[in-house]
Amino acid sequence: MFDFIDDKSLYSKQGQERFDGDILFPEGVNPSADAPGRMGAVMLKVSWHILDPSKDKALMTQFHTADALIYFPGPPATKTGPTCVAKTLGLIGFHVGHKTKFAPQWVWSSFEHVRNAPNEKQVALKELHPPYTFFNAGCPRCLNNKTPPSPWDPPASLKFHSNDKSQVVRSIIFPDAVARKVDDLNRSFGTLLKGTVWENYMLITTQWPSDAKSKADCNGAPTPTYLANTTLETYSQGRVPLASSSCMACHGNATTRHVPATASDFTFILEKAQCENDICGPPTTNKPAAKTERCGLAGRVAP
Amino acid sequence: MIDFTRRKVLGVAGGAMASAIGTADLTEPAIAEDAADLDLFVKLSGALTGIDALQLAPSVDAIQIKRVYFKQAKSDPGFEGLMQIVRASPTDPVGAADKIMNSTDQKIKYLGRAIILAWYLGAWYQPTVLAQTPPPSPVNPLKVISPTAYTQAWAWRVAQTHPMGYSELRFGYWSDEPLPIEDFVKAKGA
Repeated sequence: MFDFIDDKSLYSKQGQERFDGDILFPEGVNPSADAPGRMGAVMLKVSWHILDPSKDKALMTQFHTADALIYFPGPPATKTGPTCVAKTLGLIGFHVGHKTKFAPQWVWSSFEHVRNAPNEKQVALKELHPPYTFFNAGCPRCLNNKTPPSPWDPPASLKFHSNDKSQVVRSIIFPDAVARKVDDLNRSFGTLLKGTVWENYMLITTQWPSDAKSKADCNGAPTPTYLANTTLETYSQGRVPLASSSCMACHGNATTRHVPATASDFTFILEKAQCENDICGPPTTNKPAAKTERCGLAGRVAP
Repeated sequence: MIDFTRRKVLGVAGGAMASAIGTADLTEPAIAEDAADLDLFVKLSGALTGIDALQLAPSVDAIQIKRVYFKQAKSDPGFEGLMQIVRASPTDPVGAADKIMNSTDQKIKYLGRAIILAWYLGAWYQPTVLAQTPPPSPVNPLKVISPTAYTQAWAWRVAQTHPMGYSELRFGYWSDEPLPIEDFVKAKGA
């Protein structure tokens, strides 16, 4: 995926304007007698929790950590800055999108740290196993999955100055059969990962296209229909069409940044393209949008 | 020492997990006595609507709208009579649909019509209202059955379009000719 973006200069708005083809990331090749296989495009989206090296010392070994610089670009994007704040971060959630020959809509797996939050059933039945990173049973005024009262621009101190309290609960949005299958998988992988930090992470589930060749549903009938990570889609867990989190239904709307925009093969990365030499004027060309075949799939999906 | 390169782990994450979960039964466990009736209900719905039953309820069916309509129809007093007709001809849903639509029992006849309207419009029309003579004008539904019923209503697909604010087509589709109707209504593999 990186090479595709780099080769075609899709990292800049002007590069996107110059590109004269359909944006279709590599789907991978199965190994054959003559040639090795090659994995299709893979993309990651991750969420982090700030860890305090002294206060959270005991927790450090339970998280995949990274020493990071948190960037505050300054006004108007942030009230403070420009500055960078050095912090140790613990990985709390991540999505893996993987494009394959049989899933041109990509296959979407979501993972979380096991200590993030309990699910609705556990909360209702008081079958809790604290501590949780984002849930405190001893806080009755903390409403579950309540959105903040207004958008919040964190200061460089990263302190949250509000009396508003919320905490996170995992909504149950999958059929029991899927949940059981996922539990089985997590147990199998837990054994395999024993002794590594990754034993503290669990699969939430995987969304895949059950009808990849459909022309009327370019998302390929995502199955299961909804998938949410409590750290990445905290407030859009549910089963309401369009309003609730679905990897494919959301990413299927992704486009490039240039004008006229084109579909960007399920990644929002290209919307973040920068302008060459800080020049961000009107489009230098007025070419029509690339003529992707229906859903960008016609004649390309393996039988 | 286990060799966990990032590529290896991610490869497993995408492929193996998808295939394993892909084999899971995506349905909620059916109440045992309802399972056979649900199957017959879908076959009858195919005959009533003229849309292939496999399109109404695909073999991998993440949405399960059939259960929503089945539950709604089951709450109607005409349901048991309607199902008796279907159960008597389990391999002939077209014949059963014909008997229902021409039934002398108003409860059954208009429940059949309500089921057609549910699949096409995602709304529930009370059979007792549909049965009124003269019919009310306009005939208002009791309710839109659910948000999912609204987006899954077949009228959108038959009209080769989509609900307002909800499209499964790719960015820029509005500048294309509408897809042929077969792409919307033909069963997978048909």
